[in-house]
Parts: sequence; C-alpha cells; structure tokens
Amino acid sequence: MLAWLIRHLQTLVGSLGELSRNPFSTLLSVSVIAIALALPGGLFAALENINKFTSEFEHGAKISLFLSPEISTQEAKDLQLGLEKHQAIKHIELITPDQAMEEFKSRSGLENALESLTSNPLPVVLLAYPEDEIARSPSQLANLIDELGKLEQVELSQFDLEWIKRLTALLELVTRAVWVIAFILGLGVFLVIGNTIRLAITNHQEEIRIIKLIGGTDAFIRRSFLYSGMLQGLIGGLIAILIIFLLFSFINTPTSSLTSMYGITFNLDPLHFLPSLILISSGAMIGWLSARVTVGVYLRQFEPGKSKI
Amino acid sequence: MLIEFSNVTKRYPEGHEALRDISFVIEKGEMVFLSGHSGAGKSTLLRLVTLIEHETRGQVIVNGQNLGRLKRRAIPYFRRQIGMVFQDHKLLHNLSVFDNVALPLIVSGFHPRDLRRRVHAALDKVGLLNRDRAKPITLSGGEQQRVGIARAVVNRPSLLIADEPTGNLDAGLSDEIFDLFHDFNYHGVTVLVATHDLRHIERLGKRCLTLSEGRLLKHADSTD
Repeated sequence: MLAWLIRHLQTLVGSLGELSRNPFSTLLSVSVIAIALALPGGLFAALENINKFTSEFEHGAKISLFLSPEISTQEAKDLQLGLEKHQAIKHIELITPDQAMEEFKSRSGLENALESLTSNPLPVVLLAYPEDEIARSPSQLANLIDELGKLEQVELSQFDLEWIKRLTALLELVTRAVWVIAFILGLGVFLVIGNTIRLAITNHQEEIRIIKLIGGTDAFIRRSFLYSGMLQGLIGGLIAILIIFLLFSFINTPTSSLTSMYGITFNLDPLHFLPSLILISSGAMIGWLSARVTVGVYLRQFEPGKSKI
Repeated sequence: MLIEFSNVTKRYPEGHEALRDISFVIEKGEMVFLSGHSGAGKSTLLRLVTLIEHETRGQVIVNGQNLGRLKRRAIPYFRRQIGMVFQDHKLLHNLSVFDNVALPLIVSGFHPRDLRRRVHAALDKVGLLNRDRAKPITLSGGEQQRVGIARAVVNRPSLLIADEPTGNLDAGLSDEIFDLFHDFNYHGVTVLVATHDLRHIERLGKRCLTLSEGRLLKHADSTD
C-alpha cells in the first residue's frame, strides 16, 4: 500500500515536471482549456444570477385587488382576514384610499391638483402575496388571479403575468443552449488534451518501447499520461474560475448601478464553492478520460507484431 | 527445457520469410550462441522469444508458456522473466545510471526499501557501482553496455537474451562483456546470445545455432 502510494506520488510529481519542462506548449494548451471551460462556466453563473434576479421579482410578486368603490375600509379588513387563510396566499396587505392618495401625491408631483379634489375617488386596494411555489408556476398563478377576480367585492385583479411567462420560457431556452455550448466545449477540451497526450506519446515513444520490453504493464505506462491529462484539466479549470471571477468583478459595479435605477439592490454572485468544484472536477475528469482514450488507442501500436515495438 | 521451437516459420507482412521451419531446444541453464550473417534471421528469432513478434506457423514455448496462446495482458509478466540486452543499449538518457537499472524493479512494483540494495548489487556485478549517479551519455560505449546488462539482470531473470551485444565494441571490451554472460550462466541463468563474432564462440566453447537465410544449419555441441 505504501509502495503503491509512493509510486503514484512519484508519477504525479513526474507529470508536473514534464508539464513544466515545456512551459510554452503547456501554457498554450492549458489556456485553451481554461477559456473553453470559462465560457460555459461563466454562462451558468450568469444564468444563476438571472434566476436569482427573477426570484427577487417572484418573491415580491403580488396581485393587486382593486375593490369596488362601495366597499368600506372595515369590510375590506374582513375580506383581508378571510383571504389570509387561503392556502395559496402568504399574506395580504391593505392600502386604504387615504394611504394610496398620500403615495400618489408624493410620487406624481400633482399635489396641488389633487388637493382640489373634494372626495377621495380611490378604492381600497388589497395586495395579495402568493406563496413562492405558486408565484413560480404561471398556470397556478393564473388560477389564483382568476379566483380572486371572481370575488364579489373585487372589481379588478391584476398581475403582469405575460412578462413572467415569457421570461421563464426564455430562461429555459437559454439554459438548454448553455448546456449545448458546455457539451461542445467539453468535447473541445477532450480533443485538446487528447492532442497534447498524443504528442507526449510520440515524444516518449522510445521510453514506452523500453518499458514495454522490460515488462511494464499498460497500466504502468498509462499512469503518467493519465496524471498529465488530469492535471491539465485541473489547472485549466482553476484558471477558468479565475477568469469568471475577474469578469464578474469587472461588470458587477455597472450591473449594480443599473439595477439600482429600478430600485433593486442586486449584486452579481460569481461561482459559489460547489459549482466551482464541479467545474474544476469536470475539467480534471475530461482530462483523465481523454488521456485514457488516447493512450488506449496509441498503446496498441506497441503490441507484438505492431509498428512501434 | 527452457526454449523450444517446433517447425517455426516467420513471414513478415510485406512477404519476407525471415525464418523457415526452425526446430530446436535450449535446456535450462544452457548458454547458446546464435550466429549467422546479417539478415540470416538471428534478430527475428530473438524477437519471437521475447514476444516482439508472433510466429506465423509452428510453436514457440518459453519457460513452459506457449507464446502463441499467451494473453495480451500476460505479456508484461512473461517479459519480466527475461533479461534483454540490446546492441544499442536502449538506455533512457534523461535518467541516471541508477534509475535506468532500477527501471525493471520499478515497473514490477518492487518495494522501494529493497530496491537500492538490488540495484547496487547489479551495478557492482558489472563494475559500475561508483558511476550510479552519472548520466548514461557521459559513459563510454562499453560502460553503457554494462549498464544495459545490469538492467537486464537486476530482476534476476531465468533467461538472458542478447542481440549483438558487442556489435559496437572493440575486442578487449567484447571479451569483458562475454565473460559477464559466461559468469551469469555459471550461476544458473540460461543465456542466448546472437553474435556474428565467431571468436567468442570458439573461446567459450558453447553450443552454437547457425542460421542461414532463415534456416538452421547445424548444432555444434558443447565441449565445455
């Protein structure tokens, strides 16, 4: 067990040494791998942020119930208590005509004109906040709006539903597109690593031949190439995360100032720990797999009667 | 017996027939020379014994194993029983002498603790114990060949195969190399050496298999 561990460590160190002996070509291929991993990684991080952003909206998703003018504030309060027991509704906020008028005055800048009104024409408004899972499902939300709109006290129930529907559909589409991009670029990483491994095998042909002749197994020969492929994917993944991090900090300030104009405090999150780990380990896994396949193909030339032995 | 060829023919894919209907036996503990002009099939015969090539017809048995039936996965373990010495040494020039000799032990998963002792014993045997840290390129041709021999015997193989081991060496150095082989044979290792240098064959008085155009000419019996 100890001997096995020592051998693996030696191979690992040997692979690192091998990579550092050709700094330029290693840098080149690792950079290509890093960019190929950073693109889907960055897109997934961006999607994550858009989801977070829309969920802020969903969180604040509310249905405005404009009550009939003849409904008094007291009657509205009874209705509020009744609706708060509804299982699809988180809570209900009540806005009296006076509150609404105050807000209208301060926002619209029509204070003087509104002062001249003799009576308050605004109805009582109930703001119904649906439960999160209802808010996330356009169809359930539509049912709820419909149901509330049919109440006799309610004159109009309103919710900008189409907007959420379109955004959700669009996000679904974009997520799939990103998966396709991730797959294609993952294949690219596979081929890039496969090519560097192929070159390494060509450069070490004589060593492989000698090791085969003195009784080295394919597993023994494969090992250093597997480590080499894995290390390239791993380092590429680390650099990819660095790229995503730099990119996000670069656009974070303008994003925050843009969203703050819409009265939303929003900060871009770069990749969290788990997605970062997934990105790095997929890089390492692709590298390992690519090396495994490439070495498997090329070692066949070292079998009895083949060209390289 | 250790090596048995029964009606072995080897034809290369391009059509050249390198060995034709060869049959012979080498007993355990024997030392046998393989001679003949270049192109007579000496290398091909050794390539069949070391499983670098498969025979086209006939049967090759080495150490009780029928090489035609050996599974691909078993080949490395089969080769570990054979020490191979090459005309061009085939040393790894980015490794030290010590590491070159240690390589067969490393690939067979030898415990690092006993490795140093075994490598030093092998280097001592060929008289290069004091050069273990040198790179092979700094050694003379004769010294490099002795490193190659140390590497071939470090695993204590039962069979030692050498293909023109003194092809590039002068007479004095050649004698040293052949004396080494003789000494290994004396200690029980079966030795098969291909050489066109008849002087050694006469000097050591061992059996000789002579090939000519892929056929076996005669069996010169041991006078030793």
